[in-house]
Amino acid sequence: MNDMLLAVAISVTGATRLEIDHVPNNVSYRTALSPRDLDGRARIRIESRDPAAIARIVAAIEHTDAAGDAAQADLRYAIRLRDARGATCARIYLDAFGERGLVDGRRVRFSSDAIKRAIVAAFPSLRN
Amino acid sequence: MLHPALTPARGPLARHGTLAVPQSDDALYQQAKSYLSRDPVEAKLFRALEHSPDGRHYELSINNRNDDHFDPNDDEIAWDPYSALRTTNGGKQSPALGLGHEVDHAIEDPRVADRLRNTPDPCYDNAEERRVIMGSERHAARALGESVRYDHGGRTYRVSSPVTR
Repeated sequence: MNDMLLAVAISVTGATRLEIDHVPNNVSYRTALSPRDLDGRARIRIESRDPAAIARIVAAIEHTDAAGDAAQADLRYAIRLRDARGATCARIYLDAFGERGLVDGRRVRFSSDAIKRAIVAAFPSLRN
Repeated sequence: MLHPALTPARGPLARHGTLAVPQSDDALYQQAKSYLSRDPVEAKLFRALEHSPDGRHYELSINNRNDDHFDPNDDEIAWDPYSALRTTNGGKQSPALGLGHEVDHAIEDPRVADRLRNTPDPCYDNAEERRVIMGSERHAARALGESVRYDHGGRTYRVSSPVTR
């Protein structure tokens, strides 16, 4: 798969609500966590309607490139953006480093860890 | 903090030096430990777990959710004694080997483990997983006739005992 701009693959411009699930990065699991594992084992759940925080995270998504990746990453962050009606605009999973993950079900390697940095800056409890 | 009504009930604990195991599940722990200790590397890990030289105290918690992990925040090892693993290459590993994997994480020097966990690895997610999977897990798998892994992946499946695969 060629490099793609995440904003092309997903539609985040109308997002008004943000949900993030997180499994702490220092907890070691026998196998890499899948989306289903992460959804079931999250220890931190954040929900926000703060327009400024959402705008910063959407900007990070829009400025991050991603390329296809063959391997399954050990997922630690699940980010869901919703529009005003509650419909999901995007579902993005990140590994502990913010460098690999899933975008709408596709395994990807991100061009930088900007999305992780944006969510940690907005919600410091996601740092570890 | 959980509301008292939501706090999971804890039964009596069996003490193995610096490790506490729910008494009701101690036989499962003993079965896995006895099996793994046929490998000298695993035997050494269990000695370190039960006689921690740095004063750490560990607790084993049992679950039935295919959830094997080590949490350094409270030195808890979570283990599902009936959860075996099919490796990415189609091999099989026992639940006991999953316990051994987590014990190796648990006894590592926390500063070293922290540094390794924060080092990305393209095959094993991070250097701490690489250390364990390519080290004690692989050694025990070969000694015990189980499958080895070349990544941090796998799919769980249910078995009838900690040493079945």
